[in-house]
Amino acid sequence: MVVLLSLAAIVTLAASTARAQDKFRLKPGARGKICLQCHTAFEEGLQLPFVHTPVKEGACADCHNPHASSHGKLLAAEPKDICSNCHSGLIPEKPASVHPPVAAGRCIECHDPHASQNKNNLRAGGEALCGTCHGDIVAHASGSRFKHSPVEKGCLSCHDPHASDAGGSLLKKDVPVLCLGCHRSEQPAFAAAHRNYPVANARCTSCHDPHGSDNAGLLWADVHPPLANRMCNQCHVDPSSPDPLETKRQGFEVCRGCHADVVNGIVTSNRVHWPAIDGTGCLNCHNPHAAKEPSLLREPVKPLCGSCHQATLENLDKTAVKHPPAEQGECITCHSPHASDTGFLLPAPNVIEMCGTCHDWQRHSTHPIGEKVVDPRNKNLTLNCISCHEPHGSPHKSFTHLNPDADLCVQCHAGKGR
Amino acid sequence: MTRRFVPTCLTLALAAALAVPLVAEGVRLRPQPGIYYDDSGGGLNHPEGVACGGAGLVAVADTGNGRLLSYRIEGETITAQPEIRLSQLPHPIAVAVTSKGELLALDGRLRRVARVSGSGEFVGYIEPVGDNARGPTVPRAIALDGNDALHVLDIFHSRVIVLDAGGAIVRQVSLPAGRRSYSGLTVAGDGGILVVESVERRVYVAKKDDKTFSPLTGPMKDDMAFPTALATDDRGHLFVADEYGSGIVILGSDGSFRGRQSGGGWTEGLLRYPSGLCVAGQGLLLVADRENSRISVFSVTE
Repeated sequence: MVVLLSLAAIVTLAASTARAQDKFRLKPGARGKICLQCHTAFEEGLQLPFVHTPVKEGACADCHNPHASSHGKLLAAEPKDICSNCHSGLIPEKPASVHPPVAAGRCIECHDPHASQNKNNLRAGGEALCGTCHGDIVAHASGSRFKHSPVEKGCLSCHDPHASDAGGSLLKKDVPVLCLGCHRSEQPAFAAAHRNYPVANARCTSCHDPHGSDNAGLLWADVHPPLANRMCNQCHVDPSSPDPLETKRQGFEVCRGCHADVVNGIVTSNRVHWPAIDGTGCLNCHNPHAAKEPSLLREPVKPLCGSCHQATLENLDKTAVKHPPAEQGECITCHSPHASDTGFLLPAPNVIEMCGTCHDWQRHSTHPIGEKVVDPRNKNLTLNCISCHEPHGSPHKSFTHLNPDADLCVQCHAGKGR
Repeated sequence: MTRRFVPTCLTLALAAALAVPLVAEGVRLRPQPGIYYDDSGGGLNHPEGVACGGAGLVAVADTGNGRLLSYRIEGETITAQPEIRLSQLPHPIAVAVTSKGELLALDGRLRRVARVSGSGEFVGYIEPVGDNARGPTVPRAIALDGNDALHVLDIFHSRVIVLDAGGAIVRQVSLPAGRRSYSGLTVAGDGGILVVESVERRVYVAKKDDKTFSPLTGPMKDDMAFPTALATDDRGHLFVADEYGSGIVILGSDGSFRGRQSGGGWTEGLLRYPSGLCVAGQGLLLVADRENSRISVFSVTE
């Protein structure tokens, strides 16, 4: 009796499993093959070396609804939901970084959902796939005079293609732990190269370009001369000190020793870019060791300025008519990054002279402007370019503050309004 | 120069039509005629600081003109006093008024705090002394408490220091570490010190005896663009000058959002890059409306 009941249970389970697998009640032997009767091109794909398991098993209906769907390609659900049915856990619970296509569920940007020449159904092999989006990095790595060997072995030597809970940039381990996996900091040659400073506790990428460089030692493109000349103790205390990575002085004071003209120009100006003289000082914007950007900037100008002036960039993004220097991130064309005697940190005595460096306004406009032209709206003001124009951009033609066809001029010329 | 402070019907109508009214919780900022001129009719020039003292005294750091101005508010009348122009104070950016009518002014070029007598004479610079002096300070903002103790936002050492009349540091409160941009400072009636951070757009507070600041608000990126100054009144309101957003945000004493008076523009009631503010005893909020070269005035009503 028990045996009979067990057999009945097994048969029932098998039947329900079969029904689950064959929810569309296909005829026996039709699974997969029935689709190929119309989708003949897939025959060729099935010959590729790496075939997606459901495709190999003919389980087309695991991903597609053969009748109707609200999703493209007759997918049974959103692509990210389909993939995660089987491929869950790609993103750790507390990720430090997630590859954007993965976060957005755009798995098929990298993986062919059916079959591929490449392992893991990747659409391309090696750095060719990564280079479709990160072409600048791949080109830089391959074109560098000095190459980093893990990069030559492939991006996945250091990066997880999906997500990482260890560090930013999808690194499998954060810096310096990742680097110390290959580079032995206890070796005498390592210590000598770093002038006996305990850099194993610091971020290697502060000095080194992990993808390759034209500078020996894989130093970033722009190298601070004290570093290039191995004169670390010009800024840092002695390596035998209790806190050897400390600098001899704080903030801009440590930079003044060599850059006295710049620092003195800052501290004697009426208006200072305040980060230049706070406790972090120059290092708010500059990397003291080496950097990818000229002038040892930590980042390109636009994201660097935008790291503090977020609202400015947010507004710029939303603005319909953008002033090209602002749009192109040429902030320092119009604003001194250090100090000035003029409002808005203009590197010119006044607004008109500032704008006049690019705009020959005297030839395109006869509207009175200048120190002797009183603004009718407020006698304490004089008319200049920004009396009418918003210097970053505005919704209106020529980035005027107000609609030039209706509202701008009548602010002052009230009698001429409609 | 004396100016009647009685708002005309036309002014009220214009201000009401153009000023965006305050929202929520019953606190309203109603525009009043601004302060444009000194006692001889000369105009203000990009003022960056304003301070309200006792007995209706208002001090202005008239930065573009390199001078200090003072006014008396008596009822509905604002009377300008003679200007104070000192070679020791070439570029004042902030000012505070003591209970004795002295002015303390922060110079933006020298980055020193000068004491000026009630009659406009230079008394001396206030330099921090004591064990915690730790070399040069970079004062970014100043404020006074009810005992005339000078509070200085020292961004070089990432702290607020409290000085006695002789400049001795009697208290030091550390600001949270990390890459931040602290810009404004005020002292509440209960002695709590408030600091505004411009990038994360949040306010920090240190209560009496606290050694470090702690957040009063979360990041307020939806409500402010780049705040740089703040002031409190005796009803527990905290007013924050959103310099880049050209507006005033009003918070409760617990940091709760109570509303925003916004408006970038030239007409009265609107602001362009407000960089300092104070609350006068008559229920008035005065704002250093920098790019409009005036002190904008609002009445605070509930």
